Amino acid sequence: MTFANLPEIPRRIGCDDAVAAAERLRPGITAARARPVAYYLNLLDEVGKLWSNPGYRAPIVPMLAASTGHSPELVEYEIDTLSRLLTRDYLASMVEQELGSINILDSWIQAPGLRLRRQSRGLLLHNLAGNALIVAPLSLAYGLITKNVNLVKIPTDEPIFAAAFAQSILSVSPELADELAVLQWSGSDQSVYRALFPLLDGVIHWGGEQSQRSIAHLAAEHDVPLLAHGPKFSFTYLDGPLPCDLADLAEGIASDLVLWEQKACSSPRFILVRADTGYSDAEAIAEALALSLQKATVRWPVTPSDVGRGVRVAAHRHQYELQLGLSGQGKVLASADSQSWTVVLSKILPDHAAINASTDRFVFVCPVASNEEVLAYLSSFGRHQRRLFQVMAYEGNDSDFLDTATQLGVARISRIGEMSCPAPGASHDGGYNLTALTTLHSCPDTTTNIK
Amino acid sequence: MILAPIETKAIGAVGNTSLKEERFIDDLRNTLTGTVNECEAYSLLCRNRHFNPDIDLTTMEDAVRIPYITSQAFKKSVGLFPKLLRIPVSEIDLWTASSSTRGDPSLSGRRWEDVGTYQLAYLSLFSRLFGNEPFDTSLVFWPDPAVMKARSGNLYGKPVEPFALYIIQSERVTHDPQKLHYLMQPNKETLRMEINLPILLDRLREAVHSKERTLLIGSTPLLYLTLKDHYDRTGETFDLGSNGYLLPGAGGWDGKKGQVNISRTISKEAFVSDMTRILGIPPEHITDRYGFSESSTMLPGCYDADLRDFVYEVPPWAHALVRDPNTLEPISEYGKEGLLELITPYGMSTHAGAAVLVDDLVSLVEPTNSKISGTAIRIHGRVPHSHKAGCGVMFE
Repeated sequence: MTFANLPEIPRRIGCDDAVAAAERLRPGITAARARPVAYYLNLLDEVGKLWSNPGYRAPIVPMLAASTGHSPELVEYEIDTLSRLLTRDYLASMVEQELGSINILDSWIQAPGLRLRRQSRGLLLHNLAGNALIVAPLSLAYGLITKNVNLVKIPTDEPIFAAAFAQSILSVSPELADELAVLQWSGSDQSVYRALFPLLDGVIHWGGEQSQRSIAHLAAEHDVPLLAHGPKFSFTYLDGPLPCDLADLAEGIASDLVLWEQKACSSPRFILVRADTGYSDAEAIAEALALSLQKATVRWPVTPSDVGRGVRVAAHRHQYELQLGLSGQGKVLASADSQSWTVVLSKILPDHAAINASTDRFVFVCPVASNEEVLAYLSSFGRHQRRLFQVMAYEGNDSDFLDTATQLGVARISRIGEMSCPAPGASHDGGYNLTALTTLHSCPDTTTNIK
Repeated sequence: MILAPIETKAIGAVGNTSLKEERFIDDLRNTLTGTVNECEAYSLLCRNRHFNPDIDLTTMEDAVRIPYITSQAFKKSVGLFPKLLRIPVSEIDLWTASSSTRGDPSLSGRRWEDVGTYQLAYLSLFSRLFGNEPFDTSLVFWPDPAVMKARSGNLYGKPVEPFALYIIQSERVTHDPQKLHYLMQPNKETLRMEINLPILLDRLREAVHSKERTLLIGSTPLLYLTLKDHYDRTGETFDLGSNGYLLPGAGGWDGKKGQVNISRTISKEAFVSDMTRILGIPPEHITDRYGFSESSTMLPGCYDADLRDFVYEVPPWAHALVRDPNTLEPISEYGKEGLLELITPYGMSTHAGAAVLVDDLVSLVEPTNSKISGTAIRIHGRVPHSHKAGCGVMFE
């Protein structure tokens, strides 16, 4: 199967259209709940197979390259990555791990002394962000598997993939036409949200601080459960001793960096290196990473279409070259061209400005003397900022350190090279999506004599 | 009016429309060599780029190799501005601050002689645009520089003052000082700065009646908004005719300039058309200028009806390069947009601003316009800084 036509991007709508779409979807809740979970797993598996077929996605890749500013080669890699998360085995395992049983969405399951059942919330709004292609498939997969009906607000800065992905779902299962709607309106148009919220049973939000705050306000006002995937950042910690051959390690870090051009919440912004021998381990990692990023650039080139990126990278390279060069605190390793990759080797741990600078294959590598220094650094973020820690890719084996790091707010520990594609059952923002998008119900075990 | 002394090197160069290229290169080489010797940051950049001005700068073709400083490096938030000095902080006279549309000003440490050199470069623009005859009346859409100076801050023991203050201070272009009117004044009730409309209208009517040679100068958004809104409300026009001249102020076409934000962009074509209609002045008397606080030169701009845009002339005491925003390599094609690098050796005795790369998109203009003999550029606006942060954090 291929796209008969290129994806239709929905026109921007107002309140009346949004309400009409919600009212059209609402009757579908009963039908959605009546289908077995296996139906949705099979559907997503088939959709994943479609997208992993280069022929199927060929017409849309150039459009995505233009809208994301990523090279076509990188877009292909990103679609391959997200397709791997849509296999039936992966999703079934995710349901088992997150909900405890794959059957709990279909029927009552036996638990010690009682029976348990999960129900969908009903009509779900997906308020998507456009910073990474993976957002739309993940959000829709969570919504479908939990048997919700789904009203999708596509991001205005990258509307194409969300629309195309929803279209691919409907091409496999046209019977879902009244259970899935894809709409577009300006994120700043509060009137549409205000009109919609009274009709919703749940919201899953992806995006920045400001939009999350306004969505949270509406959710509280209308008592709508909110699953918020607000802004976060991630990092990597190499808790020594380093292997003799750093190439594999650096390749894994580079692939974490390159995916989504480092704009996802799961993208590493900096690499901490426990340096028993001082600066040299970090320097060795920085140099190995530079080599890996150079190879990655050949495989997944940087597109020259984003003017803002070129200027941003040039200014940041310049700034850190001067700041670190003058203080003797580090140096900048960078591609010969102006923006393909930049590795900043710095004895100064990243501040907010450095974390902001670390997108578009721009990363800090910083030596740390001990786990305690890492924990002190994490502690230096205020209580409210610690909820911004997303993934820590960890190479080491100190479980006490991991205990403290998670107590400080790190949401998930990952292997290197797997920051954006964790094993099924991995936590997300301190919880499970499938749990949050369903309600849990119990009833006495009829085989047990309850007084 | 130049209120500060002039740098010795700039005498005979800045304002000299016949400046020889050989002199410019010699002065540039000397400035760069001095900067390398006195500014550790610039020295580091030259070392890293393997550039020695004494050896590597012999013709204008070599200018592309000069290490530039990005305007970002001068930002207060970056904290590098004291490192970009050629002299100790104790020896500068002030920090000159950019207008800071985004709330993070660029800071350049200067001595008075560099300020004076900038004023000289700026005033030379007036003779280029308006000839040498003084004006009878000047209506200035800025505050009185004395008010701006009173609001100055202090950093490392030195005053921080808006660079615009010294530009405005030099705009004393009338015979009679009493006929220079700073229109942006504090409202007596709200204390907010706003344009004094009664004075503006009164002076305009008098200028028409007395056929006075009149200059309207200052903030682009304020100038446009005030005159356009008055016209839309009342339909009143002012027939200044060929006695009227207009010089809006250094940017602001996006509706923002310093603390002013009118929340809409201003089309240059609509600006010229509306001002021609409202003030009755010929389009060729509507001019513009371009500059930035990290550098020490200002480019005069004339309206080109065919391009429906202002075209800015690079004076002989400066050199402009347009760099591809993606590769940062120089662009020589006319019309292709790139980043502007402005190079000048004058007024640079205290900070490393001889070659500054800014995040404004510009393009070279084909020299078919007979009014412009040297390099000319168009300004297309700031590089878009939209960044898809989404669920990836960007700290405020």
